[in-house]
Amino acid sequence: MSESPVTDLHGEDERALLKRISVGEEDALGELFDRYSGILCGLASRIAGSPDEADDVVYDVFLQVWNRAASYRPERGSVLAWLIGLARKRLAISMRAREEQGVVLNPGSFRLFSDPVSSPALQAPASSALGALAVDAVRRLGEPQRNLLILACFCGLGEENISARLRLPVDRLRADMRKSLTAIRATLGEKL
Amino acid sequence: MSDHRPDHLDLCASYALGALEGPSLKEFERHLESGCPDCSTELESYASIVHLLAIALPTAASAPELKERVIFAARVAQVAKARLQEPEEREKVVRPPRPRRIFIRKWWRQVLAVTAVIAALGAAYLVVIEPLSTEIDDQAQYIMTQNRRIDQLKTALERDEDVLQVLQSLHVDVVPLKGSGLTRKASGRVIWNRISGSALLQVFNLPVPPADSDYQLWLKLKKGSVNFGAFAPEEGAGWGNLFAMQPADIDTSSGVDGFILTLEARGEAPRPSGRVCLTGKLREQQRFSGRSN
Repeated sequence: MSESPVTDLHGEDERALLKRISVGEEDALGELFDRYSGILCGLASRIAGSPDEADDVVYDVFLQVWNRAASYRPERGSVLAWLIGLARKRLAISMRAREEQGVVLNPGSFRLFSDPVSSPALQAPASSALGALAVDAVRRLGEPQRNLLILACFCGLGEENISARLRLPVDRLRADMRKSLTAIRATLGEKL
Repeated sequence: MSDHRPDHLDLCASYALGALEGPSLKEFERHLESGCPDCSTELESYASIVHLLAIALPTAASAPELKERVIFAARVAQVAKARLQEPEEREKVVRPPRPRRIFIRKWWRQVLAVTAVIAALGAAYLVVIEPLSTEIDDQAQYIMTQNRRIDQLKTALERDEDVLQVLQSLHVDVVPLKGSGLTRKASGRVIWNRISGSALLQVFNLPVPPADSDYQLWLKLKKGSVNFGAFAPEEGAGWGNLFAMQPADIDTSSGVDGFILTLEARGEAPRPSGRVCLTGKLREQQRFSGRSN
């Protein structure tokens, strides 16, 4: 199977890094930390209650990477996608605790995806033209679909939780997720 | 052999977004293992979208020491893993001969099995967890000691820089200080850089002041005095009782007389009002008038 330009961005390099981590090379773990801790911390700080908690999430993710580097499957997505998956699972635990304390999670806190289309804010965070295009495509989705995407992709919620939260049957939820991703893919077209 | 169904494509989306869970997740992963080309292609493009959205998120800086914490914890985990593997390795090398099978009633086997598990847990605690926690404690203790040492060295370095700054000047006056009354056994000296105004004060046999008081150094002028700051010597510090003093504002236009050290209520007095403990006059040729610079 050929790799898309996106996953190939750091592909070989990252797989080599993970291989070094899996044989116990601390320097490789440090390199991966330097590369992605900022993104993970940015994600965690939007969901976790405090910077300290966001740090705890990042810490746990990289320790999991250290212990489970060999379990990474490149055919399932990029290293970053894997890291985000680990972070989402860890954040889900924090979030359950926060919700038990009455804190309500707000997908609107991800303003990057809800600001008006063509807002200047779009230019700053998106790290590539393709990324900016993807963000733009999310912004063009209707609010329910956008929230669904954010809750699943960045808030660590599983189908059951999202289904209860949005009062949608699971089958419909899955179909909507696919619809959203397909719409984004259509915007990106051949560039993806 | 692939068993692809149309609804698997919906599962691809949920899987790529990380929302698929429970039995559906297991079933779908089995399906992926079967090498379904449709789902693999679909999943790859969805995963690329998730990647793009993730790298578009604004980043945030984690705590500066977080990377070190992660590396340290990884090292500890590696030590623990190595310790856990050691007994297995030993077992491979010197495996005892298999004991002759004897008939043991079933409940005895269970009792023996439970006892063996408890013994194994105890052994694991003694072999792995206890030494590991001791090692972590030792490491933490070492780090704390090193941090204290770093703080001490920083303080010493700052003091040495202040000392050097005063001593490097060509225009340094050394003013001996003598005690009187209750502090007659005390003595000291002020090394004063007239250009920068800063001074070094060294004191000997000066008693530790009461808890609510500090010593305060003054430059006596013909008219008035200049505050050089307060300090409290440490008991038994000996040669360590060297203080860098800095006047807030200095105007020697009325002429300089010498230095005095007074005992004042804690918090720096605006002018000398407490008991005078040490005094020192500038020699005749050192006295000058006009601004120090």
